[in-house]
Amino acid sequence: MSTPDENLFEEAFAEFAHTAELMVDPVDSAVIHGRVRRRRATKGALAAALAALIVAVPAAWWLQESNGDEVDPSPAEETTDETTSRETTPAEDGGAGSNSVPEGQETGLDQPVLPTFGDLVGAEIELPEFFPGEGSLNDICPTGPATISDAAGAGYGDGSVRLLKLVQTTLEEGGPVEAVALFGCAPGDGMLTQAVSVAGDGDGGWEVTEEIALGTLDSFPLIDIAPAAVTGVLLLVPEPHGTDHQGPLDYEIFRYRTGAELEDVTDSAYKWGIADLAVEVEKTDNGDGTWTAAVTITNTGDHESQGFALTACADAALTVEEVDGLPGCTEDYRVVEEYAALEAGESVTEEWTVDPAPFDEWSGDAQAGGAYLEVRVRTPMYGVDGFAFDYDGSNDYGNMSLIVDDVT
Amino acid sequence: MTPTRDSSAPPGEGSAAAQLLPMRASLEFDDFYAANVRSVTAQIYAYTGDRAEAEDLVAEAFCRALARWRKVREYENPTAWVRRVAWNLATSHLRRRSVVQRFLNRQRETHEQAPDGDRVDLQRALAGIGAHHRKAVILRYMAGLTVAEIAEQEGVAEATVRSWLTRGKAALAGRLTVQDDMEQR
Repeated sequence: MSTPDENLFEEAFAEFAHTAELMVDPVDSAVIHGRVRRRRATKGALAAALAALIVAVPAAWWLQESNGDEVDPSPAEETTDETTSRETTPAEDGGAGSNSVPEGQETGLDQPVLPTFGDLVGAEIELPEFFPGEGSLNDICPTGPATISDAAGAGYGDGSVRLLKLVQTTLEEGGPVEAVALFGCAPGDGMLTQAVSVAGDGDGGWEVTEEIALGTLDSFPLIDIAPAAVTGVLLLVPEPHGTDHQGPLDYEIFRYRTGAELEDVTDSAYKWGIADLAVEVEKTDNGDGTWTAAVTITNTGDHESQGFALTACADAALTVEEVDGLPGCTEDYRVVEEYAALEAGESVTEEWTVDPAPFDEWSGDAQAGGAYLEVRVRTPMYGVDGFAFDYDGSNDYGNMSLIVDDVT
Repeated sequence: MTPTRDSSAPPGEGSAAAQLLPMRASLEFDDFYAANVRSVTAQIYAYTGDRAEAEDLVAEAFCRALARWRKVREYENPTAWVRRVAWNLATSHLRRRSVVQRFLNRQRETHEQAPDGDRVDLQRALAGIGAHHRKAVILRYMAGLTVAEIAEQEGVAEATVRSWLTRGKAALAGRLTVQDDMEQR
């Protein structure tokens, strides 16, 4: 790939930006003021009408959840506006950084204060025990209070309580919108989870207002949550499995509503985001001392995936030209590319040029066992309104290696 | 991080001077709007390729800024906030539109108009590259953000942004070259 001259780019874009700024015709600021005034005036009326909308609007979703329709439209796009009272997702409102304003914390709103993801990370909250009635066993996942960590951080297996996901939904017909959090704690290899409803405690902190489900490793390994189509929260529960499990996992989906029995909606619930991303790496000798690594990620599942990241690491003996500076595989994986969703059957391929160092400069381990380039896909679940579940983790990984015969 | 419900009155509430605060804030918003709306709209236009759509999305972003202006104005960089909201809205919008577009593309042939100038060349070339790459290039060269600022806005590593920029620029250059060749023939 050739890279064009930087100055030419800057000049071309400066001219383009200037022309585009003259072309666009934004509305007068008075129009913005008017729209905001009207929204404020209708906010009360909208809140009163919410219960009716929850029942009436997402008809397609109701049909899907009740009739097993497999069309798979996205819940975030089709129903979130109707099933929650917020105007935007936290991400749309500028992310969870210091500049975001949690919905409901503005002056004059007589509603429960609902947290954003960023509000809960770092907060101290009294949570239900991960091992109910087991006394000191709970010390390995402290919950009284728990100091919440970010799910995206490293350090699994350290016993810290992490916020895996936060969604907004109504838990009973006609009820208020609530924030349902999925917390996890991994004292060892397995992840214990719990889903609870969280709201402001009126004193500047957060509190659990409803216990929804407790995930256990052996019988109910709750792994993900999503807003239900109409009312309630969906719980995704794969079959009990160990970390060494190979092949696809079976799973069930349950719907929780306040005061009702858990309902198995596996056959009828939407399955957007329940996918199987499979990675393959093919190496080709370029004949000039370099190699091409073709990394292909395919959604081999039946439903559209969520967006995902491709991570990579490489032995110090290998230079990957397009993604320079990869960490060693004994250290870490680095995100090298992020992708939007893949439809079922869709695939995406990256081609990288791998340039090995002279063999005598390789480490002893690499000389003996080969120099590896490894890739892995990761689907972050915490930023989406639907499920984000790859039911076959055994094919999320691929590698290519060069050995002595390849480079001498 | 703990939440606080902002129910306390601002300093001076109730005094005559305080009565002028909303008006002052309103004028301040108008200045903010005038200073930024064209550049942000131009960036979103370059990203979506649809002027009317870009104007609507940016108007929505500024509505959200005005609705919480008392907070937003206190931020270190209110422009970054509104730009991020506009970009997030545009990304969500494009994702929805791409689903429809994929369907339409299967249903009919598309007849694109020939470019009529450098600006259109660049615009068409932008439309032909990946969304991440397009976003990175626009933010870098139209919005003038640094790699670190783009990484912060998009919530990705700086290395990822550098990769997007390298690939985006190479893809753009390739497309502009192809268009030049076609026009010379």
